[in-house]
Amino acid sequence: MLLLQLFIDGMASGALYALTAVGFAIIYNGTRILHMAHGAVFTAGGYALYIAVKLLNLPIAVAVVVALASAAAFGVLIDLLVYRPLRARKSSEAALFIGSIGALTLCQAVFALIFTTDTLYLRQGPLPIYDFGEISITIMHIIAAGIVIVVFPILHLFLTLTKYGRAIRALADNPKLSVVRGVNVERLYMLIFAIGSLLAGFAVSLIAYDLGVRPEMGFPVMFVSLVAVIVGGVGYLPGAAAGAFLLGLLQNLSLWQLSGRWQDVVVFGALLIFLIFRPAGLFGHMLSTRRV
Amino acid sequence: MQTMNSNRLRIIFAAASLVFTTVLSQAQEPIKIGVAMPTGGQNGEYVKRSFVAPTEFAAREINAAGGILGRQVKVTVEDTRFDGAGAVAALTKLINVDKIMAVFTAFTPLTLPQLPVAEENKVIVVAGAMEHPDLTKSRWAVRMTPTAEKAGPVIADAANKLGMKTAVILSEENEAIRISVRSFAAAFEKLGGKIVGDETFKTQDTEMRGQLTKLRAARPDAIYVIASQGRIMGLALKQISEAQLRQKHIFSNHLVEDREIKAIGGGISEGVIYTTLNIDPAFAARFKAGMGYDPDANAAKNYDATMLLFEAIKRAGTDDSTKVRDTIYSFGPYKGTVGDFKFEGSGEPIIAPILKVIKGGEFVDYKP
Amino acid sequence: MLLQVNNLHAGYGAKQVIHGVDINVREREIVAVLGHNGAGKSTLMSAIFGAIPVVSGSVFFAGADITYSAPSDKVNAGLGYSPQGGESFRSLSVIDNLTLGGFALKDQSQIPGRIKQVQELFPALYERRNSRAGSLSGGERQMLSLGALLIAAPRLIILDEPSGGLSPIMVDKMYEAIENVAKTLNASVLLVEQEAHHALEIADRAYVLGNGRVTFEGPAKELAESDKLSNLLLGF
Repeated sequence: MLLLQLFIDGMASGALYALTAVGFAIIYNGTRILHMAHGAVFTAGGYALYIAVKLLNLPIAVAVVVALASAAAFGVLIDLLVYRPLRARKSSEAALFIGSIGALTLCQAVFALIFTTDTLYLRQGPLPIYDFGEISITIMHIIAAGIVIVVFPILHLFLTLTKYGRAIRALADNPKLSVVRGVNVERLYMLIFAIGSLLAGFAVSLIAYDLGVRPEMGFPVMFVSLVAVIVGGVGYLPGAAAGAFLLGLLQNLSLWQLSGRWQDVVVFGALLIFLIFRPAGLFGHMLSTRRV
Repeated sequence: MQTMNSNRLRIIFAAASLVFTTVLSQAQEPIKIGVAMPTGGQNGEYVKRSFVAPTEFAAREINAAGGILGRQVKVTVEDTRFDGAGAVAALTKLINVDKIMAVFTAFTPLTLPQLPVAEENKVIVVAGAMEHPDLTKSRWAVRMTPTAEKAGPVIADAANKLGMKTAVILSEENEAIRISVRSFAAAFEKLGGKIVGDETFKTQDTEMRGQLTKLRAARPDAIYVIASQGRIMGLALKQISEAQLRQKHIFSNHLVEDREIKAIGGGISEGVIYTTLNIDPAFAARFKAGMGYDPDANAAKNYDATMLLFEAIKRAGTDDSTKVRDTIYSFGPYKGTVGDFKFEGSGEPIIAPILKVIKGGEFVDYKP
Repeated sequence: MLLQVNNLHAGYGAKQVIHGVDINVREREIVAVLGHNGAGKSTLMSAIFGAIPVVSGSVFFAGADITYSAPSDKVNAGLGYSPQGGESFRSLSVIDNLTLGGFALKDQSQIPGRIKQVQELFPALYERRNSRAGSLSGGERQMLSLGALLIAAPRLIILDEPSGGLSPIMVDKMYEAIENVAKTLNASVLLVEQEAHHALEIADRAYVLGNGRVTFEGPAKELAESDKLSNLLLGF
């Protein structure tokens, strides 16, 4: 029973990680930017939700739409204000990475100045719980699962069946040939950032509703996304999702026989094992034909 | 002759005015104290509310009443960030640039590295709310709170009297908290109880559901939950409620009074029995009138610590740090707003925590 | 004149590779650009298409100055370019690669019909439509590269080493296909090759490039029969 409950908890954490990790991965694959400021986008979505719910008194469904749109817009804005000027100077990937960390830190500080470092809560009290015998599941777990079940297939259909979805995959595969085919790379970047940030918006809406909003809430999320992407295999989207679920499961299942103090040991031990024995990640073989 | 006279006059006048202003400025030179705490970052608001503001509030009260020994008190605040090196850098700046005679600090991982620097420069370290026992091993430190190991036995005794046979512990990874947890576990088992689960979480964690799932499987009578900040305590209490542990009682520490827990709401702290110190209502009212919010136990401890320093300077008749330190260490009884302290030969106060319980959202004295 | 390149200077950053090249292609003409390794052939093609920066000079296509036009405008104007190595989107399916060939088209509804035409021309691209491009053989990949570019119905096809990495039999087939395509579509072809013989067989005219300059210009036949050919190609 304990094991089953831990498994369910792990899948629920994994679902939330997957939303941010896949958003992060889609941006990295398409633009080759290690977008650490994805964490700031996440937090911005949380504050947008707070403003929509608490200050504008919008119904929650509308507020979530506002949060999603704000996250997407914020992601695009970071691309335009931070990465595009760096690209125009032909900066290296390392410079873009430093730029993204700078943007993350700056945004956190600005959020703290505007909203203080207090937690802003969107709701009161404990979450509704559903009991199934010995197993109990919170409403957030159920919604997280629901979002993943709906959003990921839609994302898949978008990427495989639409003109711009195909262009995103093409850009990730071979940027030079994409240009030759007439893809406007700068405009496609905006779309990629919007989609990746939208996914983070889903995750933050849930987390903000459950745990409230704080300026630095995006940082651990960012870290988890990065690890999930490495474990799952850089460059392969389902790999990032699988990596996220694996991470959530590891974190929770490690508690089965070990104390919580061992959580990091298990998770980062797994990361090291992957880096050493499967440097291409869980699904590295899917990338044998990727561009160099 | 004429010119020479006027020149000499001018020199005498200049010298006299120099002496005069020096004497005057010495009389008016403020008493300088520093605050070196993490006022930015994650827990900045909490630190400012419960640690910095009480000291500033005390200084304001003293200054409004004419200062100490006819001198005003000047408080300089430096942000340490939450790391030992930052804490040392902030203190070094306060010592060398601001020439402080005493520094107010908080948190074990920041204060312990600051101690050697303070000792070398003969600066008194006032860690009003720090519970780690090692603090007062230093001959330059003073605190205004019972040490961590004093909470455990008080809780264990109450749990035993309530008929709790088994207990689990959920605690933040933190040295001082570990000491409280160990003292509780030892006392509880000595009284015939059994610890059936002991889980921890890290300060930056937001999810403790896995830990709670595991604790639930142990089916405990009681849970002892202990954290270092109200924000984390709030998350823990909320998730304890969601995890449906079906425990009979929750025990905790004074942080359950934090406003973050009120902000979460939903009665998650209802019925929690916790160790704390009693805050003098007259002080609470005065503080609220001045600062706009209710002081928590840490705010009151920091206020008391500041006032003790001021009293000691008054009693010593000087702000010479060595003399003031000696005065504090032999202070004897000191009536603070959180109770009656006693100092006998060190910076360790003699005081025991009391128990309170949350009833209908109010913090009331616990009566078994 | 379909394509007219006037006194073109181009290169990578500070390193200029093309030093004042004049080239032109007429309607329905096949033109070969030959030259030794490093003569600047691929750089010239990239510069014509705008994939690398032009320093000075101009490129006119169908009477319009397209030197600084966006790649999507060039595709729409009827310029098709297949970069060196028969490049494709290797992790994408054959059908996706073909569809992307028409990405820039203003009228996207034409794409399915054209894919069908291309698949009739190259049946292998139909049989392997759902395979990843990376799993194709070298010949199939060159076919795909050419086929994808045909989806945009170009008036001028720029091919950079279409025989690259192919077996002799496949090279024959490839050239047959190029000739066939040019005829069926009434398109012109600008062909870059290191291996001169096949190219000169199908070409009407030829240029030889040496160190970023045109060193020979004339009918393909004349060059093929000339004993100067090997000297020119070696850059003497």
